[in-house]
Amino acid sequence: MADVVEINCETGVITTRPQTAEEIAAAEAAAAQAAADKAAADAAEKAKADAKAAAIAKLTALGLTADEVAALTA
Amino acid sequence: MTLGLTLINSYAVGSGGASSVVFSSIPQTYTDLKLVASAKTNRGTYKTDAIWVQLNGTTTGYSGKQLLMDGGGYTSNSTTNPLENYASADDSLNSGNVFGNIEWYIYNYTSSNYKSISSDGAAEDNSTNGNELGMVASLWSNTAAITSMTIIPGYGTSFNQYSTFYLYGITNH
Repeated sequence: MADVVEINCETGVITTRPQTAEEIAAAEAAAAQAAADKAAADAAEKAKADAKAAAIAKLTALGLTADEVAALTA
Repeated sequence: MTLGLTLINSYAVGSGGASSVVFSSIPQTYTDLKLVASAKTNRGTYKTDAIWVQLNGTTTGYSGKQLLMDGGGYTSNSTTNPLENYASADDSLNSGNVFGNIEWYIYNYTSSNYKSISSDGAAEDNSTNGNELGMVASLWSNTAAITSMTIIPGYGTSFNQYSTFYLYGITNH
């Protein structure tokens, strides 16, 4: 596990120390939550794209030209 | 009005990496702050990584709107992670010495009002459609003056060697 680096802007002193158990746990929890949030966002984006593709297919099946579909979906 | 830009301090990550980089005891003598990073993390997916910046070590009170664009188009979303910009850093899925670049502008950091922050970043992965661009408007709903910044990878667990961080003070004359 990489260290924590602290730069004191008043003194210029740089301190390096190992992460505490609490910091490790917090980082792991944050990373897990962030990964879950990203997965949910990706899934929502994919669902939106899938719905758009399905709508375009239905419009095309109704006889709209590609230009007409593009005008509706732009 | 002229702007004065003063380097407060900087840090380049050494071998072994850094799980976080903290600028502490930030002088309260400037008008605004600017934080600039060139970074790469140990994350191994998606080719990009976010960077979070905790103010005064606080993990709550943040809200932000991200506008992101890559080769697949653009998207926008909300975030409550500290000053998150998803297009901040490259990650270790990218081979070679490719780093993401980003800067945050922190307005009126000594004010007793809530703090407004803007950021723009670009993560480059040497491919035609993998570049990521991010512009973010953030708010920290806290009235305390900012005295420290803790910079951490959003999804990875450490910054790679040669990542650099520069903190500037801005003075309005």
